[in-house]
Amino acid sequence: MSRRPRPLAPVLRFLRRGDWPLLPIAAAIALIGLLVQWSVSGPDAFPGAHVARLGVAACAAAAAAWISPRRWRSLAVPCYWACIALLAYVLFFGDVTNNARRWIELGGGFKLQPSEFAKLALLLVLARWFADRPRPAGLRDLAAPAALTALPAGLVLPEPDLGTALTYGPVFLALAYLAGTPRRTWLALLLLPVLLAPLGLLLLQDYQKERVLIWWRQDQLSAEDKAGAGYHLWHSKLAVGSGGLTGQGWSEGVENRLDRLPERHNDFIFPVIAEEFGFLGAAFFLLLYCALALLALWASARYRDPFTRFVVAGVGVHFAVHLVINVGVTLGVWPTTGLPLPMVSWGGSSMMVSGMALGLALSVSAGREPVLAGRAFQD
Amino acid sequence: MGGGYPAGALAHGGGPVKEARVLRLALVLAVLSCVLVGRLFQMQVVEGAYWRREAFRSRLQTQSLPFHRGRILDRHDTLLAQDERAWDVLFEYRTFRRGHPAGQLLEAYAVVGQAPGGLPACMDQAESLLAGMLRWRPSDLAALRSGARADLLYYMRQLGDFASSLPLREWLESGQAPLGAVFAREFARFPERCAAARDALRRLEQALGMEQGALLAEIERQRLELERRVRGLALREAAGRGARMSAYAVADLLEAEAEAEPAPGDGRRREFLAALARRWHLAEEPSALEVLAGVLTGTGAADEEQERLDQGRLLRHVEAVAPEDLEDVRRGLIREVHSSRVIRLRKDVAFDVVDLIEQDPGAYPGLFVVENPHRDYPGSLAPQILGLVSAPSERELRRYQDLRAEERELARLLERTPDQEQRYALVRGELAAAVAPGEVRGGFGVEATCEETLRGARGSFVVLSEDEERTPTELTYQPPRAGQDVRLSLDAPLQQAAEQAILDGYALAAEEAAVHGYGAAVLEALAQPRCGFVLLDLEDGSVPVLATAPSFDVAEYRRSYSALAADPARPLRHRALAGNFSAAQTPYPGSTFKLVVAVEALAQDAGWWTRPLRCEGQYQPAGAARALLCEGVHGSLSMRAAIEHSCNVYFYRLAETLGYGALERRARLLGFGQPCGLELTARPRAGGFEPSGPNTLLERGAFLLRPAEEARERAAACHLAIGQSYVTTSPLHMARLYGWLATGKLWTPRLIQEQAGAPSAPAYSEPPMPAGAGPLLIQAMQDVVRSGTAADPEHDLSVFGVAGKTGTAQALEARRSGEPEVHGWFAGFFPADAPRYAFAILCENAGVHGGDSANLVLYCFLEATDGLVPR
Repeated sequence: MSRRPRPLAPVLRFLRRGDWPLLPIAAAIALIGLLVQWSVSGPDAFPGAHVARLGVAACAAAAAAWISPRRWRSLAVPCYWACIALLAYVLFFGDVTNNARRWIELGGGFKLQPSEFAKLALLLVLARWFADRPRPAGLRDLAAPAALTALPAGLVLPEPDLGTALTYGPVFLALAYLAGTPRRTWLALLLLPVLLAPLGLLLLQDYQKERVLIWWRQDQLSAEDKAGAGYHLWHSKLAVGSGGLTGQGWSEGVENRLDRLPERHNDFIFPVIAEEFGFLGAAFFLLLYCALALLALWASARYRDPFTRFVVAGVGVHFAVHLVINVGVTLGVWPTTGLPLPMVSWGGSSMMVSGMALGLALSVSAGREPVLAGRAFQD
Repeated sequence: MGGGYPAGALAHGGGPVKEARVLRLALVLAVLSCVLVGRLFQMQVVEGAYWRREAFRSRLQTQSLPFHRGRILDRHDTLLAQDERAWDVLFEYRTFRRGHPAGQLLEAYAVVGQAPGGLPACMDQAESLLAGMLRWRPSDLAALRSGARADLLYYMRQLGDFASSLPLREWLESGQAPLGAVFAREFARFPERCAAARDALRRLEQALGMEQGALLAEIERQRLELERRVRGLALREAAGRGARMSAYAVADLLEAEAEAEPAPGDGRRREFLAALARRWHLAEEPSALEVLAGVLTGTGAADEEQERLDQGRLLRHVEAVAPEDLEDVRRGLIREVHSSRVIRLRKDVAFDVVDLIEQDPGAYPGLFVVENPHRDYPGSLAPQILGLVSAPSERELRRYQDLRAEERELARLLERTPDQEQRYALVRGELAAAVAPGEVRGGFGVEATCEETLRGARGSFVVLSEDEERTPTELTYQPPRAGQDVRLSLDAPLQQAAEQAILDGYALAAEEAAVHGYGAAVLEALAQPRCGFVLLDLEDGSVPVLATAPSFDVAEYRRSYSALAADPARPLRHRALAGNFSAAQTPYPGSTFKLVVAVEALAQDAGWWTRPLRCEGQYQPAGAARALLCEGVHGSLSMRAAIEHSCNVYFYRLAETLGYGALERRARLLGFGQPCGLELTARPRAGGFEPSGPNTLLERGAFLLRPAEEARERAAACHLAIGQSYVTTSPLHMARLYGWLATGKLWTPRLIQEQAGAPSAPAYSEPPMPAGAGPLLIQAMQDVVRSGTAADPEHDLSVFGVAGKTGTAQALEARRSGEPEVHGWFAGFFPADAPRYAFAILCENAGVHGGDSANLVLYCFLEATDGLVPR
């Protein structure tokens, strides 16, 4: 007997089993982002382009959610290699903007930033790698996923785009950890970047070294530093610090209004939030963002299917890494590097990838495989 | 279920993922988030006040308001120096290029590597240049670096009407169509703006009395000068990058070694240039390397324009062959050079120019008016005494910058310790007194001595910068405080009379010299008076006259100081103070010193007044190698006659008897061998005076008196007795001495009568006069005028009651210059029966005796002032 078609079944299943609380949180974050972008462009100039990007991201999320987890699983490797090919293409033939070769011109004013899509592809391929293989027993078992991570990072670094390259590593580390890598091995893996950091310093470009030095002595910046290499950090801190407890009010932030905050629509959007909404608003935003990441991580624990687990957890890590790096830079916790804040910053590719990441998480979580109680997985 | 899943998916290979790991990961994330929230809390809540203050301070623009220095007045309140209100037009190219359509177009084109031909061309062809820009497509600009893109966006935004640069940024990053097609409406008002800018320039040119286009041409000249500096620095920076050294090290290497003797192979410099030439694909012949060095150091070109063009050619070449050496260099240097460059475009502009700019500052970006009080010296009276104001030295500017940096550092502390608070107060006080860039301070003379009184306090005007839509908020206004006045004891009419009397007296002396058959050298010397004249008021020690010739005009000093300094007549010296004499050049007092010998003799034995000594025209002291001469053969004569006729032999014999030590002690008692205490040149200290600050040159060497142990010559006492060795002096000093002879009071000369309303106290000492000697010596000095060396029936000084003593001092150092080797002296007082003024006149290198020169100057002075009946 053939079953009667049930067009609403996926929706119902999603509502019943999917991680739908991710959606309202993401929507709230996007709404805050829209408000802040509006404030940045001025109260008289509604950021229509940003709304359009949000719309595209929503469509991307829906599309990603619509694709079945099984399909995602089978798409992981092709997606990865497609992204690697695009990254290689960009390196030689990419469109140069802001002195960086990161984009592919699509025509009609649209540009594609493969390094953003590579984040998602890497997540998928790592999830599949760890899902398909036994628990890594030592460093040797991690060599291949590490190479899978290093490859896009190596292609992105010369663009140059240090910020994006920095986001690949944590996703790999997190998934390796979740995959059950023995603690000692994992700690060794964690120590590796720390030990290699001095070597990394030698490879940094002059302006990057200068930023590190500025960050190191950020409490003793001279007037020249504040007007030169430390301009971003200084004005970011001025904006954040002067927000106080309750902020200066929407579109009333002085650093924002006087156009003194560089890249405030993009990498330095958080200081605008902090300046205009104060500690209460900024902390709420941080907690909201953190909740998104934590919820994804938490949700991942509920799935038996390793691929699903890794994807959902990876999406959480993806947002968390961006949050920690982006906000940390604006607060002077890390040296200055450019990285957008997903769903809030201005970049189209970043926005689309954020939407797809969310859709992916929702898709795999709403898959038809059984969801068991989390307790069942305990040792 | 799970029909389609690969094998092992559910089992996950060797073991299931532990939920604990997810929890730990979540915990790490939560901790990191807490760190961020904590940091946020620290910055916004704990340090919120600090950051708000810093943000606020970063928006403050403080303008210093200049103060007016106090006035310098003479004893009758005649104005000798004052600040006059004046305005200068300053120009800052950075603001101009940001705010003026011509500058915006030029810079926008420069960003994309095109040169539309200077500011005047940009203004003339503004509309067509904009039309060209409107054809630009994002793809044409794709190769721009991020800084250049930001600059271009800025200028595009300024050229059009954009509320925000976001639409332009979006166009640049993802647009396809030409600029004009997307933003036609935003650029529609550009022609209107250009017309307004042209009108504004024309109005200002008319107000400044300039020809049409001259102002923009001048601005273009300044821009090219800045460009030359930027290019020079960029080349040195690029050379430094190529050689992995700093730009400063490059300059040092090229300039220091270029100055040194060229060594074989020319050392490091040559190696450096050769390596650079290889790197930049330039010829390595020695001549080519020198050309390269010339361009790098800015010494190779014939003029600045040529230098700029050479720099441009080399820069383009380096950009082509070694772009990494110039990467991001230019933009940073432009910011550095332009931000520290404010040029005084016009000084002393008329008020309608001020009005024009101030009424509509937006029409004149980069041009602004500052009040810049000018120090004016009406009459240019005694400029060596009044002094001048001058700009701060490098050291003073550095000190100001250091203090400012420290003040800022202390001001920004959230909480200050008591020590820091104390230091903060101290630094603020010192900063207020320190000379800021653009200010002046007393350079020398009264201006320097009375700096604390004359100097006011700068005011300030703090504005909070806001965006264009909001009116700038004036936060604080601290009015400047004007300096306080200084009243001098100089008497302007008397001073002018004295200056004129010097000229008249020298003319009379020249006439007489011609009659007496003096040579051409003397006549020439008398035609160019070099004279110092002091008048000392014996009632209060004030100095109504301190005249010198030749002098100079303040405007001349400002215009051509070096010419004045090189003038062989040395007009910068004040001869009444023996100013700027080296010890070897300081005048001897000559026979005017004989009165000191007479006083010592009478102090030892009153019988010397009547005891005769014989003059046979010369005298050979015991053990001396040669005989000492007298002007005549006076026979046997008493002290009175010896003074009257200035007999040298009498005083040789007398001094030999008294001894050098006794004479030296007496002279020291009467103030010789130490500064005379004029406020300008010395400040009091326990037990005497010490040289005072920048004016020590005024009196340098004027108070030499060799101690006995240094006077080894057998005839030392004889030489000292006629004031011809071992003692030097100044007219001011001699006036004091003769004032003492007249009244018994040795006055400390008082030039500054009142500072900030507080009168200075007269001061004198009373070295003992031998009993009964005073009237006798006054009689003798009256005889000098009536029938002695100063007697002149045609110019009879006795009618004015003058008593004095002439002197003729040898000036041996004049042999080198071929000038007459004789200084003429006349010192004394009047009226003799009730002495009120002491005087001393030195006719430097006059070539005639004091009785034939200096007395004539006094005569002319007294005649012009009716004998100076005390008012």
